[in-house]
Amino acid sequence: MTRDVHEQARQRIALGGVDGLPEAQRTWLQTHLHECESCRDYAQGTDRVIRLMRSVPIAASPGLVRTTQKRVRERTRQLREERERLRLVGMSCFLVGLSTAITTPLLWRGFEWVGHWAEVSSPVWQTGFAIFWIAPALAASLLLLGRGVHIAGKDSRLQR
Amino acid sequence: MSPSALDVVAQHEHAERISAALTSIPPEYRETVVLRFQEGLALEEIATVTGAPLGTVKSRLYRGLNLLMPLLKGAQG
Repeated sequence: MTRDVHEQARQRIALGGVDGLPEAQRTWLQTHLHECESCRDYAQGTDRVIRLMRSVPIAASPGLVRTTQKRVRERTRQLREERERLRLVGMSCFLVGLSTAITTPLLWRGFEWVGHWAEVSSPVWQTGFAIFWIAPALAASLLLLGRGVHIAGKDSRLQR
Repeated sequence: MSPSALDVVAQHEHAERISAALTSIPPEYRETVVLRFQEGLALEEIATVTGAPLGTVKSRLYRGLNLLMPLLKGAQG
């Protein structure tokens, strides 16, 4: 048995215990614990430490409380900002979709009229329409890609 | 039946010992262990609260427990 196997077993014990694991991992761990005395001792030790931790209410140190509260506030702010950003992006997408649905037939007719007026063949003005229609989105995408702009903010998890 | 004075003292010493063990481990491990076993938070919740990636939370919990185990050896659960 390699060291990795014991390490893996111990990590699983520490993170979830036997009961907190999915079926396949639980079976594997139970089999391993049946065979390995040192990991069995480790499981008992972990269980004891966890029971000790839960047996008495321990007042967290003021430093820990302060740090945790600070992190919670920071994380809440980040989540609020992410939500706000995504709401704005969603609203923009909806408005762009709506405006595209309304303006595309009008633009098509406009290009058709100009095509007839300039006496150019249909494929020419249709190509012009396609380029005109797709060019702004393409330019905006290239610009945003070039600047490295993402939906999420600098510290956001969406960028990880 | 109310606990005897000896029981109260023993309970107090017990809590002191656990507190001392917790104080002696690095703060980031202590924070993870306390949030997991005292506050009962799930690993994902700890990651959210602390702002650390889930893998880091797992590793802190594992190492924190490994550090606490010898310190609390012999303590009665």
